[in-house]
Amino acid sequence: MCSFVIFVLSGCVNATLQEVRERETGFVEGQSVVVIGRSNLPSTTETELDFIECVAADLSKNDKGLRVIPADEFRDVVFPWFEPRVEPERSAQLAWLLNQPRLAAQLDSIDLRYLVWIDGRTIRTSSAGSLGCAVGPGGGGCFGFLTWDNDASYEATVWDARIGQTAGRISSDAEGTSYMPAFVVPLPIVARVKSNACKSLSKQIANFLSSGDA
Amino acid sequence: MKKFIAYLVDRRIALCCKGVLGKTICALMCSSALLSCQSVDVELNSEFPVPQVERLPIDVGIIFSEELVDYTYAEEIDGLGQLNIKLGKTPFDLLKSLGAGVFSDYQMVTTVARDDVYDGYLRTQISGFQIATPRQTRTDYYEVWIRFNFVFLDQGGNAISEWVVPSYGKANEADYRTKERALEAAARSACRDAMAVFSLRAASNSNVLQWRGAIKNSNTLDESEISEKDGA
Repeated sequence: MCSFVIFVLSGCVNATLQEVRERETGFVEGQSVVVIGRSNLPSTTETELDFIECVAADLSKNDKGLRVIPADEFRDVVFPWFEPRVEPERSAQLAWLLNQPRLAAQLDSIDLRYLVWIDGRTIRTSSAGSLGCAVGPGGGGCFGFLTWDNDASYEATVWDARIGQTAGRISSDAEGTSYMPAFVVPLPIVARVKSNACKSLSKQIANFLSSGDA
Repeated sequence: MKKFIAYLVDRRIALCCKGVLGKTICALMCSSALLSCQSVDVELNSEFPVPQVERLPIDVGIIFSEELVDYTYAEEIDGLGQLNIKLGKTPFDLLKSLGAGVFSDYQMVTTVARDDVYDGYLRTQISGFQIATPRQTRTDYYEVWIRFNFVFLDQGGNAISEWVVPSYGKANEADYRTKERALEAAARSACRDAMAVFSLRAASNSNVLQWRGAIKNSNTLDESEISEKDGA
């Protein structure tokens, strides 16, 4: 019943996924991956923490034995090489980082195989309508109609930490329209755009990493 | 005009005494009064990771002063109220992690030792602290700037050089449930930034090189004095 209500109250979401593979991927059971966001970007383009955590959490549910290390834990283990001021921007810089003896030892200790950088964010592209609420001694209520469009556009860049090169890119675009009619009580019908983008992106990353030879 | 204001005050008092509407107005007035004198207290409780860099071959005494333990930043901010950020044990943990990661050996000390126990000393001060709220910058971010002054001393406690490290940290208010947590995250991020700068640039920084040069000269002099005594 609950899921039926959630289904009815959810707006429609259109999602598109694209994948570009540059190298064969694969992993041995026990190897780890970290999903991490860019922290050296201007504030307006920084990826939401909850989205990165959502992708990492979904990816950790894989049944292929790939270990997912939380981003904060990873940043502590490799401190200070992935702090905002100095984090590598291109995979070519990773090869140089792997030559740092103490950093390389730390990466070995966690058996890191892949680094997944998440870029992008969810934005509201348009909104229309109006809604007014009033409260008085005898009660209150809302009247009106609101509608808004959200666009979730994310890209995951996969680096192979073993060879210090880019393995591929996966992009996820999801857009949806939400509605909120109100006749005394507001009834939000929300398009779960970000959640949809997270699920589809993490599923695609899991497939991307597990296909091919180790 | 005075009569009109007096009328309004009387009317409000009268409303407060009677009926549902009066009680509602009273509740709203009390809430706004409480909100206007609220305070935000942030106490940093952070453990810092040890920097994974090549260690400098220096046995250092890290002077930890009372001034750092008691460091509290206080500011009255529009829309936020009285803000107090207490660093507490954070600078101690920060310096301890720096010592463990950057130097070949270190000890946390309170003063310069009488004997030549260490090659040199590091004394830290905070000379600047600044914050910005989302309301001030019209962004979604709490931002913190901290200016650390690292003073390098020789074995006798004489200042050789000083390295000023400005650091920056930010935290998106949407990622944290309360403004206290967001501010704490931004301040922690600024501390980590200072640690990152220090640990990655210490080997090539001119102030550190000057200090290392002074330590080397002092060690050379000590060795020549010993050999002179042995010769005599």
